[in-house]
Amino acid sequence: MPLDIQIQKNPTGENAAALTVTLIGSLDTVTAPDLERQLAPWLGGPVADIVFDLAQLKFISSAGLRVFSVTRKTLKERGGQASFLNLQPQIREVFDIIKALPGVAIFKDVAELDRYLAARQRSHREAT
Amino acid sequence: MKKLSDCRVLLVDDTKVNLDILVEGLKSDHKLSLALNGETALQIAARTPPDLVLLDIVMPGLDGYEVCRRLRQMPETADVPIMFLSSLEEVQNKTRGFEVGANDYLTKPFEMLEVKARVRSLLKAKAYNDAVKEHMAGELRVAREIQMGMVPRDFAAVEAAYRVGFGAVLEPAREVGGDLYGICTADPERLVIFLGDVSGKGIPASMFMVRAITLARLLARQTVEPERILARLNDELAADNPSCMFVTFLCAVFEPRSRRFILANAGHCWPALLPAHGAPRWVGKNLGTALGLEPGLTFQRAELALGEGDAVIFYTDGVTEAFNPQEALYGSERLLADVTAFAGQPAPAITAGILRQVRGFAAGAPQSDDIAILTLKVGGGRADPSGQEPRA
Repeated sequence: MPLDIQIQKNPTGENAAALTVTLIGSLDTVTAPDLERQLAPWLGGPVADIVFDLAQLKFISSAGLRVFSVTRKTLKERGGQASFLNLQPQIREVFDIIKALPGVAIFKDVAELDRYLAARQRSHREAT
Repeated sequence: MKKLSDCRVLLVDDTKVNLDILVEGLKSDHKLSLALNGETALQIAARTPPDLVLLDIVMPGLDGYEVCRRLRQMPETADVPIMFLSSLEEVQNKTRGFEVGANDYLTKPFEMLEVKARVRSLLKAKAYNDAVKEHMAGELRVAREIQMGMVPRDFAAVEAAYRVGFGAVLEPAREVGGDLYGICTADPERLVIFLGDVSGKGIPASMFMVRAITLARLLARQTVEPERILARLNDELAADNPSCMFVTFLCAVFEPRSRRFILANAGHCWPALLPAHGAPRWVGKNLGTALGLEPGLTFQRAELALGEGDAVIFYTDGVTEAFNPQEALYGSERLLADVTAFAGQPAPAITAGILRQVRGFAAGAPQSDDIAILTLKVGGGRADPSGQEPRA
């Protein structure tokens, strides 16, 4: 099963600094290097938050999970965060391996994510 | 590297006089096979795989494009260089030739000197490619031997000393892999058993596997509680781990006198308990985080009182995530159902039985992930005084 990767910079809204990455298909040993390549220029740039929309991700292997944890680590080092949306049940099961880590947030849907990001930005503004 | 004079060139052309010209020009330099049509060419290529194919395009029956496409689909000739020799000189013909998998294209009429030069160039590239592949295969064979030497195979001494039985298997999906298991005889009152699965597979996974198994053996001797072994192993692995490799890991301590079995889990699928009497079930609840991702993590323990004849089965997800040709998963429910049939059997028979079930389910589909299975059975060792445990 192949993987379709769609990367979109959020133009407006509360999470304008975030990148949305939509993954469709299977994130496994074959497709994970492709995702890593496509994320590299963004991770090397100023992006702080990346939102992975996994509504259409059918399968994930540990090789795919590794790419998520590299992303998490890179973003965490610059105070950012990797968020994951719309996990299907079989994906949720695999995610248990990394869900407890700092720098990882899992949301039920976009609305829940937006509420979280709005609150986080408010607290940032209040802090400065 | 193979000598150019030992290389076999398959010449395919429906016009005999064209073949005669090529034979005359190439016969003193290389071994030759000849075919006057596409069907014959495919049969010859399957029987005696050539090192190079010179292929006409316009032929009755299968045309050269179709022959080329089929050669690429046959494992014996998937990588063999193919050069079209054709009077079709339009750019569209040439591009189509490359699209169906050709490496070169020469238009007729041709100069024999140019044919010979291109043949030599293509054969040299193939010989180099073959040599690199062979070299890699050789290195991987040795790497596999080294890796296989890192997991224990002979359990006789430990089985006798602790009155247990072991059955283990490790089968990487490629030459080397990231699955691991180990048994450490820390002291007479404490047997440490572990099994892990490194993220990904192949060479990167195998290198991390070596790091994990070496550290685990060391820490298993120094540390009493399995959850502490995991915490220390995690801190070691998380340091200097830029590529964020991780390993899911099960670690258990078995105390032979009390038959207490203490288990800690770092993101690994829970083992199955196959009791001497009663239905099999999973052991443990909280999954925990995999090792190597973040330092400073803590882990929980689960305790189990094992009885005579009880078996605990550790396995990696190469078992439960084995696919069949219809792309269905073997799955953990099927595993639990299948192990029921092995109740009462010795540990090696349980391990072999599970592997057989998974292989049967996969029905020839390629193994998609590394497989490790480690079964511990209480009282199932060779030293079992009751003598009720026949060896598999």
